[in-house]
Amino acid sequence: MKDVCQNCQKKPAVFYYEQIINGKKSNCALCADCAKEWRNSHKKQEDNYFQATDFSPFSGIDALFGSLFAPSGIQHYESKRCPLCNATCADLKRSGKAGCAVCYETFADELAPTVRSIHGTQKHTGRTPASLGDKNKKERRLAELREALRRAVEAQEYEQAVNLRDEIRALEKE
Amino acid sequence: MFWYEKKAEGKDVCVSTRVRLARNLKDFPFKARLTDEKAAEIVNKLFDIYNDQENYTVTTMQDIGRIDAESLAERHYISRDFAKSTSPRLLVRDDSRDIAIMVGEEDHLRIQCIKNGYALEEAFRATMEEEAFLDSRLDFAFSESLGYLTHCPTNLGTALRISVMMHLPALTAAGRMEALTQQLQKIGVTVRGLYGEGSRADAALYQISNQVTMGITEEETLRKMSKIIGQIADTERAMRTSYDEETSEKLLDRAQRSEGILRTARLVSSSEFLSLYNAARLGCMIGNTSSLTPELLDSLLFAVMPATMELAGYRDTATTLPKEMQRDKNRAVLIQKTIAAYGKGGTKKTRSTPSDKERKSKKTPDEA
Ligand SMILES: [Zn+2]
Ligand SMILES: [Zn+2]
Repeated sequence: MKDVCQNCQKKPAVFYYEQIINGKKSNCALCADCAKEWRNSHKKQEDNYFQATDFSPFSGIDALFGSLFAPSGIQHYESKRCPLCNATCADLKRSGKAGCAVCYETFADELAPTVRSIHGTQKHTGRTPASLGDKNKKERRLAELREALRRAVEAQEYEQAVNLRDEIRALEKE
Repeated sequence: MFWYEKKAEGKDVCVSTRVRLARNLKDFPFKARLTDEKAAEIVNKLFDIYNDQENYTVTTMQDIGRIDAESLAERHYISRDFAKSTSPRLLVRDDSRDIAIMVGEEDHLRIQCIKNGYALEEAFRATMEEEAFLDSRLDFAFSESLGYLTHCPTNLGTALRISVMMHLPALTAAGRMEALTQQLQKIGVTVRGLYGEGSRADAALYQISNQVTMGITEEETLRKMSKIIGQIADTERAMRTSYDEETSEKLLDRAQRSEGILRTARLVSSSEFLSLYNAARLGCMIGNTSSLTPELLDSLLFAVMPATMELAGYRDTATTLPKEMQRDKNRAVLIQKTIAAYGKGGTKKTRSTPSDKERKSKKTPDEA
């Protein structure tokens, strides 16, 4: 039982918005594409929204999620739902955990600062499921070579270091 | 044979090594939003995969008793939460490789390898091998940018946690653990005190684990952790060998008194056991001539836990003693029986304390 997007009337709605304008409440349901457009048009407001967050790393995941949401003073709020598990951003905030794999796509923007503050990065460089092919193989090999280079320099094995440096450069150009 | 009874390396500073990977199935909601019906579906999938495989023991958690589950948690095969949960769960074990897979923990799958002493490389390889076996049979939740998708964002990326349980009595006594903890925190490594940290029963046991799982490869994590563990171990060893004669004498006195209590007491509480364990274990390493070894003390560490003790048959007999007292009495009996059996059937009756290097080069004929 899926709603149809109220804007394009074609694609299934996955984002639910509740707007409060001048005290009047209205609801709308949008598909992913229309929602993106809607969000861009509200970008300015949202930027302010997220700037109000104040992270302190490692103060516990609940605090991290909690700080994402500062609803007061904002004229609208989203009630976007995850299409697979039906979770809202508020659910994620409450539990400090994602509802399913699709949540990470659905709430990518909201989760980004959290991920960054936990890990200091948002780029996975490790292994990949075999079915997807090993896209990170080059990066992994580079990381290994850089580590070997560091060790060679530390051990003052300069000949070895030069070879490793050349290998790294060649691989980077590939 | 349980993992903590097997032959091990690095026992002078390391109690155990654990490597675990978290994995989730692509098309199923995570634990918090998973119905029991869907959870059972996952359990069945894994049951089918492992049921006809040799070497694996497959246990449906609902089929075992509360004490059995608690004991598994006490011996680090499973987590406390997993033991207590009521939703469909499966435990898959291959004790020949010290592999344990929890199905239905916080993540759909927790693949772990726990080994006695220091065995990072081995535990790492075994865990990766198990993951590859499952990867070829299941679709894991994965994103190119975020890596393996996990219930909690703290595990995203490699979803790899490497932990080593270390016994650091010298660093603890010197009051250096707090500074070390803060220093390691800065480079993404967590130090957690175990069993009565800060209390009088402090056993000087710590769990050292990596915190960061994204932007770092599995192999880099392994290298980083082995380097850090090596540094901590070297510092602890250096402190132990730098004790002057007076300090050594005092520590050995404490160790031998502790051994005396372990061998003869009628009542041993769990907190008393931990402080006896701590003193006796340090004594073994700085030249104790007793027959206690870190291996024996570590196996006792797990054997004297309440549920594990009960499972081994040490339960209340028909006495009028208060429950706690009966348990302490059982603990004392268990300790003394274990020490006696070890002295007779154990491989090493006496133990010198060669350094790590010596131990490697000097293989006795029966070891080779
Ligand atoms: Zn639309
Ligand atoms: Zn979801």
